[in-house]
Amino acid sequence: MAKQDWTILNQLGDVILQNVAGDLVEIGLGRSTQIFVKLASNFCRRLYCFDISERKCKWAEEHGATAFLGPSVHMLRFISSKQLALILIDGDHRYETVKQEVDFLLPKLSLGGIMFLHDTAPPLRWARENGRNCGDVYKNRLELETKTDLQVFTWPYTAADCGLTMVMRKDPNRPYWKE
Amino acid sequence: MGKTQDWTIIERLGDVILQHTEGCVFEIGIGKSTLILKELANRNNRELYCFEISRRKCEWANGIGCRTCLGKTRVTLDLFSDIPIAMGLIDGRHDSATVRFEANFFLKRLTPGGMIFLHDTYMQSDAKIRDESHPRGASGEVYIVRQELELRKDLQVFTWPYTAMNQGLTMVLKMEENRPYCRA
Repeated sequence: MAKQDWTILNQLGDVILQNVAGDLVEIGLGRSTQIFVKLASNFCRRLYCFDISERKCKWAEEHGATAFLGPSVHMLRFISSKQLALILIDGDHRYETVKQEVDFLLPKLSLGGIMFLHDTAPPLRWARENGRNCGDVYKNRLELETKTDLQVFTWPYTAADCGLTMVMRKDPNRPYWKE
Repeated sequence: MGKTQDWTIIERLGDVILQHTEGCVFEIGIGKSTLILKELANRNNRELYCFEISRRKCEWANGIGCRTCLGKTRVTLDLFSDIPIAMGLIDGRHDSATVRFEANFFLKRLTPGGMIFLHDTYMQSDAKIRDESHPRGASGEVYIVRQELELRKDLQVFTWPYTAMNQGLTMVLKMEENRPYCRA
């Protein structure tokens, strides 16, 4: 996967962090981790990384992140931050796992912060092949789209063209979300 | 007119959108954003069409190579060719009837994957929404069009509460028909 694939994350990351308080979380380490490491360093935020690969966790630790080795659903409780500004969920691609990750992390997401989910809208030809490696994360996106207290937007391009969803909590105190 | 960080979201996302979508760029309401859109159009070999009621602003935009349409959009859009649109910004008059007309006009011509930005869709307070002293008219009604667009199944709508003077910058993306799972 080319680095260019994470161009939206790369373009928006510092805009989000300039406007929103909180730390960073990445589930499923890869080339996107380079972007997260740089953002965390530039904005003096903590970066929590989760992966089942010891090699990837070691790399993240070497680059200043706090890495947790093992399934995210067991390790997420070790996050000490109460506020998160930027999250990327791209680990296990099964609906049930992603749901647990989202349910744990979303309440910690600062107002204005963004939770990215990858593999949420694979092309039709891939969907016919049982989603290839995209699993059924699209079901998580569909579920999130029904929630009236969230904004949900999915980029159809970049991120290997498999769908990159942005989730933002609506501010209940701002007018004209209430209606 | 100098560049401003206020339009940083358009500046950051413009190239990504244009690299994946065919068509020209438009803007209703010439301002500091015009420089950013013109640079994006130049980098991606697109034309930038500007709609504006101020002759002075049109002349300035002509000077940097934009194609300009002087007058109210109710009149000038009728003369606009039926060409595909990749990206645009609506930031002219702020009454809901005008914005609705403009948005619907360009959404019909928007290439799937293309994006229209609307400004002033998420005002910070009721006082600002009701501020009739705004030079562009009933300034607080753009949010009504945003709410209408949010209900459409063929669109995705997302509003940034920060940047763009913190008055709300809404992205409206036209979805591809052959993409599965777009909506339940």
